[in-house]
Amino acid sequence: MTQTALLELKGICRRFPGVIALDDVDLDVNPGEIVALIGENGAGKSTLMKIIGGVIQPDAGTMRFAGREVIVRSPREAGLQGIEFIHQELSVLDNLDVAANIFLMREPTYGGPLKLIDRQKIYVEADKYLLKVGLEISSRTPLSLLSIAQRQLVEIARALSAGARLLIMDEPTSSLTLSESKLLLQIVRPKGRRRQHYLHYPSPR
Amino acid sequence: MTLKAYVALHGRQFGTLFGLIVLCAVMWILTPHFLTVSNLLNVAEQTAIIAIIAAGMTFVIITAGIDLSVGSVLAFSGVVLASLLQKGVPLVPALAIGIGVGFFTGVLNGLLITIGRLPPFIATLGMMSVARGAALLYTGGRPISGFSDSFRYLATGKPLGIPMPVLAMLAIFFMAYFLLTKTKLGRYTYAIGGNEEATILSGVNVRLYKTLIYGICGGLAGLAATILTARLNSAQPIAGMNYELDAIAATVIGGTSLMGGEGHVFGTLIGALIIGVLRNGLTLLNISSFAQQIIIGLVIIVAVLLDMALKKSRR
Repeated sequence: MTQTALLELKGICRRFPGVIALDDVDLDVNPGEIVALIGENGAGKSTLMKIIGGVIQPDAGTMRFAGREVIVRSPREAGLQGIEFIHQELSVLDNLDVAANIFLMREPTYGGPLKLIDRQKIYVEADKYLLKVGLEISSRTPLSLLSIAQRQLVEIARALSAGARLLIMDEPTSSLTLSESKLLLQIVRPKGRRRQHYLHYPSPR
Repeated sequence: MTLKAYVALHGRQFGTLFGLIVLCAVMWILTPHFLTVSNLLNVAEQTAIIAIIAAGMTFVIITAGIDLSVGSVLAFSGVVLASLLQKGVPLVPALAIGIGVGFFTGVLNGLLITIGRLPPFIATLGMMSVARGAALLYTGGRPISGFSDSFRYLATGKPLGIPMPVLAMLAIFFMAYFLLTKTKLGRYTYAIGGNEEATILSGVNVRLYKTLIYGICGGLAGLAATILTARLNSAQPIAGMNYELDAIAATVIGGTSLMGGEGHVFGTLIGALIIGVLRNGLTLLNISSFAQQIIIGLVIIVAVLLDMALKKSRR
């Protein structure tokens, strides 16, 4: 069976003043595949991730996603394509509860002109995604009570709920203990029909 | 939600409410006249103007911002409204323009902060001076006095025996509570204060919401100007001096953190009532206004110290 790659990068170049960060880089990621990017500091790992995630733009090269050529000018546009980026500095809000974090900007509403937040639905839906990432807590829990590893799982739940087809994780294990790292890898490893795809590069250890 | 979780979430508000009740009890013991219906309504009426401003301030402070311009904006809105009324502009459009002046001044603050990237303290400090100067320039420094009974009803009217300013205050706080807890605007207000960078990354249009929040704060200063003008039957270009400080104090006593990300409007209402009860009670006790300033300052300091100690013990 021939499989078309979910993500295809061809000839990606990116220069910064005084340094060529990426020079003619090709990368394919197949559906269901976990790809780890490994390299020294300054090898251009972050630059490549940021280009895929729409944080920065390439100087040259093309990007195809799900069979179509795409240009992502912002993280928001990447999100619309189904590309979610989990940054090394976790961008969670520890003054809100878990459900609010998962659905920030995508809150289910009652509809109508007022667009009131459907508080019942937000908790029910959030609990479903928590189950998917194996986090056995209530979505009503204040985020401030969670460990770093749990917060990372909340970010993954957030990415899944956003309809992520490609998940980019920047040094996901850098702030985790060994056992937490193992747990994270277990969850990330695709099982059964799960059709999310992960692209991450571990911290140099 | 379990009772324990509920108390953990809202404990701070109960603490402030408890403080208000204790304060009222002390005042009642010291001066029995304090606990008469007419005096309590009097306190509520005097508190209304600061409380309405403080409701807007609560939104701003939850985003980790500050608005120092509300007192001056009140004065500017007031004199614009007054001049329109005296020129014979009908009540409703005059009110809309008066409150609109407050709203647009607030939006201007918001744009200076979001597009101009100024710290809120600097942007609104500048606006505080600009709006005050505009009010003085517009009136030549003179008050505008004498209005129709229908306008004055907004402050002197007592439907069902409750003064209009108190009704306006209650309406504003229920609306603010609704906005803050049930709508996206409210949720993003907390999100911006909790972690602005992360909120931007989530795709929330932070510039729009912040600008809107400063607009609401300015608009409420405009509403307060309407009530104050109707009550005094006069709009003064020097009105609202130091009101920003009272509004910030009410917000902080009510448990909203200046660091942003947390706070509740009903805490602010109680905070405003604490200041109002103190002023009223101390006046009934014949304590000079000079000494009152010292006492109110100490209350602000003690309230925040207690808050910090409680938060530490909970962790």
